[in-house]
Amino acid sequence: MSDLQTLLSKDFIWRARDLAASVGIEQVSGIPTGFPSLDRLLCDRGWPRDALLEVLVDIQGCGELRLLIPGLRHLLHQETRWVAWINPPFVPYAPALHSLGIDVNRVLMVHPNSHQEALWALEKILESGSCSAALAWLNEQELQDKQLRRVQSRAKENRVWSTIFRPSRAARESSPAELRFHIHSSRSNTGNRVVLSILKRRGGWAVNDVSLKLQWHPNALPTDYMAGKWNLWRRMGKTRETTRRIA
Amino acid sequence: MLWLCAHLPQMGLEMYEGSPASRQASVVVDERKIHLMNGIAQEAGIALGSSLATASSLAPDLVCYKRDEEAEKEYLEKIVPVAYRFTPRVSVSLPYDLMLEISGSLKLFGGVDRILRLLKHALRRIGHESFIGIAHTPSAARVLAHARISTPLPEYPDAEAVRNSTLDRLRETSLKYAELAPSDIERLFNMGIRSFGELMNLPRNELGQRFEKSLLEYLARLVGSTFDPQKYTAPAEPFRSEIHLLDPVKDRQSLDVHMEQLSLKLVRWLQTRQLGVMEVLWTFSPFDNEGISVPIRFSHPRTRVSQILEYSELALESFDLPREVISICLEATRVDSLLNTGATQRDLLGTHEVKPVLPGDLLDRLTARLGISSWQLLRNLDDHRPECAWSPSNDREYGHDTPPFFTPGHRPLWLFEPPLPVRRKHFELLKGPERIQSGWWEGHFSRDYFVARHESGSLCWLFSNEEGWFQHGYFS
Repeated sequence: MSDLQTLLSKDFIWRARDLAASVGIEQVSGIPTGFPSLDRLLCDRGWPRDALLEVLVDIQGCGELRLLIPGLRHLLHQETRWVAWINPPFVPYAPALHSLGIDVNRVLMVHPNSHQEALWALEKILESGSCSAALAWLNEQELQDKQLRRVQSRAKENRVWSTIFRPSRAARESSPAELRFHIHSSRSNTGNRVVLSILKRRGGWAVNDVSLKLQWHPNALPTDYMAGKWNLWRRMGKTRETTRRIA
Repeated sequence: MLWLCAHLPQMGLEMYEGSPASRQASVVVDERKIHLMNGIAQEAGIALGSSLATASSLAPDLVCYKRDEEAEKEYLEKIVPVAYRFTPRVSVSLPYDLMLEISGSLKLFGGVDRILRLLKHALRRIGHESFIGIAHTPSAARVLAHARISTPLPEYPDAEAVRNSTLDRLRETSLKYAELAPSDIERLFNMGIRSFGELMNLPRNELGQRFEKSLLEYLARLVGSTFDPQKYTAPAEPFRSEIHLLDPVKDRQSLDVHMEQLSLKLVRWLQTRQLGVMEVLWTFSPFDNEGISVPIRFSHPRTRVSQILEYSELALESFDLPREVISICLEATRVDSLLNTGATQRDLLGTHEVKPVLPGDLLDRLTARLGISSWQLLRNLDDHRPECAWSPSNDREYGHDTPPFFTPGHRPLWLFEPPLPVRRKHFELLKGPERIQSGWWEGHFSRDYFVARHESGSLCWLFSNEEGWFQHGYFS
């Protein structure tokens, strides 16, 4: 009995009722995700401020950034620290970030030349204390479990919300990340929804098919000025040739 | 205050010729007009302001230099140390004047005349003919030097005596030496006012009504009724320290010891001057060969040994040092005042120390290990062309350019640079077109942009132009 007590007094044993208690008092310690239904599923009521998040996604352009943007925006408003993007696959488009309320003056891009350099940069960024969040795109072929473990522990020590983007085949492997999301791609994607599965979360089981309504999707805009003109011209038959080219 | 102006009328020419005067006619040309010339050119009959063609016809072997005002300025700043011998208060007045405030140096050098003689001599030794004017204000000293009028002064003049004799001299001086707009001087000449005395006798109010306010301000500065602050220049004082070893160093650890010594020296030097270092240059030389130089840049002024060493070590990892190092040299190539370092900040009550956030440390680490091109900051630019509305930057002194307003979601979060040619058949167009055009003066293009869905389901930003279809981004 006393052995059990000593074991339980150690921090590394997690008991389900700890979470139940914290959920009961609606304790908010995470970064609001901007999606109330997602907040309810996460044990911090938001993105973890000090853990590694893995986003498993196979294609670009299915809302994976817009899922994170409200959280990043909240962090940039709340703190003076920066947000680092390590090895982004394309150019993060500054005017678009600006229009979503992200202060681009505090966005740091790092372009390492190799996997080792990327890991080094990520670690330094986590240790520096000058960034509140880090997004990283690492080379999947060279990525090892112990490297992820190291990133997770650095994120924890230095309280940085770290996100790593990986392909969905990584779901088969175990990962030290505290939170793992798999974003489903849909062939009829219109950009206004993102459907994801939570593969792993603290204090809860996996959840499948969480559908979140995204803000700012390009189709949701009121019919814009040019489109209106375009239809008018088309009705007038003036742009038959162009129409043929597009259709 | 006792101001001395050393006017170097021929400096623009002398800076090219060096001290032994040329045997040939030589001139300096500014906008195809003769700006300066030497004595031989003058004897040949060349006049200032005449065209280069006229001059070459008068003196066929004419040596001609093109005037470079930037170089002249640099040169003048370079000869400041000559004047710095006499007083710490030296300022440079473009194009050809050195200003010295010598009231504090009279005793040391033994009177006005002696300083004057020594200065002239020092300037002649570096090849410059000078004319010196002394007055109680900088402007008056300049006028007297340009007009080549010497003021008789006692060895140790008092302020009143200088003022009186200056004003006496000025009265007779022609107005053409005034630092006024040429049109104003011409107007005064046409009114029959030819000397400073005549100008100063006129009632100020009426003068102010007929001329710009700047004329009155100039007069006030000239006679000393307003203060005329000068920007004193201090000669650059580089830091450079070397260690020459008896036995060559072969391992990094003993190298570190010497590097630490040098850094310590640099930091002491910085501390006494309240400076921080922005860029250092390490040179490691082997016994028999050229050394290698490793420059290290910092994003803001650094003052600590530990910081300098840490970033140096990171940078050295990517360099192949000589196997045997016999001398190590540290140079501070750029220093800056400490005003903009993020020293510890305290909150209002001073009770609890706020940890300053210094992304500069991080950037320096990245630069040292991965190179300056390894990181970028994003900048918004005010431009309607999609690829010109942003730019990467390594400069932390960021501006706040506001981009054109877009409805949120209207632009993709990922941009392709450059746009990727695609096949139309893989995409389904969802929305558009949005026509974006630019004029011929900024690289003509005309594109119809569409929101489109790729077969895989990703939401893309496509455009079509006469060359076909291109993908320009992802709506992530």
